[in-house]
Amino acid sequence: MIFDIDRRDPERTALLSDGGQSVSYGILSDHIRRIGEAVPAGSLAFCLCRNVPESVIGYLGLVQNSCAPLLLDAKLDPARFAGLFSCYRPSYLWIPEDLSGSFQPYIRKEILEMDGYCLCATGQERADLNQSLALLLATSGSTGDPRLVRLSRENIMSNAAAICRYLMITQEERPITTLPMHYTYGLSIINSHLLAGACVLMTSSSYVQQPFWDFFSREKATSFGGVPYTYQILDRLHIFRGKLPSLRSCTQAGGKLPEALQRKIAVWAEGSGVKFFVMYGQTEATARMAYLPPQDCLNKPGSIGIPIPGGRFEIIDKEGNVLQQPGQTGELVYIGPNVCLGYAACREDLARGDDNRGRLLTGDIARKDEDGYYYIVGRKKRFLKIFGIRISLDECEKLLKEEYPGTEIFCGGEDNDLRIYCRDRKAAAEGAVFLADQLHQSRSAFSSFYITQIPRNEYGKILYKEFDRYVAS
Amino acid sequence: MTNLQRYNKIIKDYLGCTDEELNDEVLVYNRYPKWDSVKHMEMVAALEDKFCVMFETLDITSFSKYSLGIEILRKLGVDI
Repeated sequence: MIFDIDRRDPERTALLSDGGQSVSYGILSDHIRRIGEAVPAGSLAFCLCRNVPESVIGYLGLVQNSCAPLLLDAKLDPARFAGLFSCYRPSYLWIPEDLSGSFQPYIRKEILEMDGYCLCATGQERADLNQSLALLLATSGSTGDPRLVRLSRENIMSNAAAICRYLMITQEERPITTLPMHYTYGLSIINSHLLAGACVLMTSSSYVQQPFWDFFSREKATSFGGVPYTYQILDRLHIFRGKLPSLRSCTQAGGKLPEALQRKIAVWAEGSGVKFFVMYGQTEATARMAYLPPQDCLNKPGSIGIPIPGGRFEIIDKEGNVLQQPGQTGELVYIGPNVCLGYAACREDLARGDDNRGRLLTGDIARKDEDGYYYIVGRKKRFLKIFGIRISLDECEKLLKEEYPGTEIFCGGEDNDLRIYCRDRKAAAEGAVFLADQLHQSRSAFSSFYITQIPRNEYGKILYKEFDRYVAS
Repeated sequence: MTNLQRYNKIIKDYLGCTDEELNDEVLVYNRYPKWDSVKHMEMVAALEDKFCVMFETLDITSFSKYSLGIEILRKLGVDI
């Protein structure tokens, strides 16, 4: 069975919810079998996820039975759901019962019920799924893009095993959920800990709310994960001043942490006996590609670290030649068993085989140092041309932040029209001229704006395309 | 503008709710669709700016419905 769930001590707890519900490995494997018996192998299913045990049970039951579930947020906007439904036409839905009313138009028949979740048939004919396809994840949470990442069982298993190895996860671990499970990083925490036979503490409440911390201390959580924004909030909550007695490690991925904050957390972690892992990954690599060993966190700030066990990196130039020398920058390529099969943009794509063959162009521009540690310099798409000269928007943001410390400043725009957005009147008035002069470029290609709000998605990620909507008149 | 009006304006600006929705039945963290962790922290920062106060950790984590924001501000010395 997936993650050898049926070979664990059946009495041990696998999933524990903040509502007090406890699911042992024995019960978990029974439930996985039950779902398997109810759905024919090779079916496409949509799984509407919350951070509750039943979401995990449904996902595992479907994967175990060679079905391909697409994991979606249970709070997904109905119009976005409708778009995905008509695009992929799944035969089954695994949904929270309290939402079954709003999904009525899609439901032909309820097949199985399990503690607040139900399995429903939609009446859609079976899709032609590739034999290797095991799981589908969306790359962006909220936009209308129906593009999905196609993952195999080998992808899931190999990444979970690699994560277990470098994080040294044992069955004594008790990670608490801080990220949604339909998000690749949140899912990887659940996968790797189930593979280790550990107990996952599941809560839908957020770390900005008291019930989360009550659950954390009551159940003695040993680890959590977070994107940069999570750590910014935790910093604001003064978490890195105090002590969380049960905590043994924490992980960070999903973007680059400001270096000052990384240093602060690393110092706090060292003093508190907590291992702090900065990591690097993408949905296209099932989740994880690199990690920075905790002992290097202070002497390699800003680095994504080294490849995970079983994976390796190459840096290539525009022509695709591999750059061997340390310090040379180019696109980062990852090679490993966790590289996804490819994308899907329509139902027919679900029949496609392995497009990537274990090799992923990450779209990130990187370099490595003499010790073999990698650094992301910028996003390939985060460059634009000003009168023919290539300019890194990330680099521009860095320059501006140094000039206007403590201000939130973002750069976007297109070729010959670099736009600066900030929450500071002074920077909004002077930023364009400052940056143009710094880069020795014509001022006509630069403009700066004061914005009323910073557009972010549900994980706190900046939505660069939406800045123009928040420009103050 | 009274302090209560200032408070209500911030809540409405960030959560995009109507005057009728300014109550504890509707405005509950995580139940009101737009009140997520991102909006929560933005509202806290806006309230701190507007009323020149500093939310402690417990103030931030216990601000879970409409009326509790007013209670916390009162505790921090705001006449509201």
